Amino acid sequence: MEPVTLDTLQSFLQRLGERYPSAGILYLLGGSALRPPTPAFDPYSIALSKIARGFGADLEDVMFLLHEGLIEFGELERHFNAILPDASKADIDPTEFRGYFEEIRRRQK
Amino acid sequence: MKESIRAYTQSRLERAHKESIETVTEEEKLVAELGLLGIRYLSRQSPYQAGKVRPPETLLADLVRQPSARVRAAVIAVLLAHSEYAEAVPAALEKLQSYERLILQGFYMAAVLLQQEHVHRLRPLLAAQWRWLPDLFSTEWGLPADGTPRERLAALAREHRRRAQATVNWAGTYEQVARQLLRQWEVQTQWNR
Repeated sequence: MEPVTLDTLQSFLQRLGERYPSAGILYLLGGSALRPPTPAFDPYSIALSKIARGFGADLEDVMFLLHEGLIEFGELERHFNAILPDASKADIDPTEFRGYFEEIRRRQK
Repeated sequence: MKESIRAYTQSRLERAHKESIETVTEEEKLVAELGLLGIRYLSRQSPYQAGKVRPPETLLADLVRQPSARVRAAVIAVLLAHSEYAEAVPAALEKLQSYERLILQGFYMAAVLLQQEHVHRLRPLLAAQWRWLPDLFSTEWGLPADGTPRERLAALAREHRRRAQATVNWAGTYEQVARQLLRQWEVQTQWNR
């Protein structure tokens, strides 16, 4: 796994911006607010958005965030459990969402 | 003195260029080769330029072996862009391990069904290159013969999930490749007008 550099981060954010033109959705899905001095984004919100979508590349991105120590599994699970009851309000199938989260748990082991 | 500085600078530049080529990853080489095939939606990490594309069966097999899901899924884009690569699928399968064969078969069938779903957008873009992909694996994968391409893609995704034992949004993964490829081509077409 390559280290996170400014270039890879910019590339990641660019791809993210292309996929999610409305940044507000990211924060709503994550269920956590940006806190200073957190600079530009909340990695837990990003991870949960990706798990909700569940594409092959999304789940790999979440594993990348975990492996790089940018997020911690226990904290991710806490956010996940907090927002799961409201998933359907964001047009997310809770069963699918749970399935993708369990896939992350499986890959994590 | 100026000459020696120029020669030194030139030699450093040549060395840096050589080193940058030598350190290019297999993934980067593949993505560059995809560019030669007209598939440019994957982001690049280096300015590496490919001179030619490896043989079709090798390209398909090498893509499927990649650790990155985005690059693996680009097999679908290759098949949508170059349906003649279908002829290389049996040879590519012979190069692969069991799990990799599963990926190639699943993505191949996804390309077959996506081609049907997006025929009205793909056909004008490919013009004379357009050709239907033959259905190679739907019997083997137990896919229904009837139904819309979208319904059959959903059935493929369910079977893919079962066979791969991976809870992934396979249908979304397939669709995303078609969306990105079509968007890239349609933007290119607009620019070239």
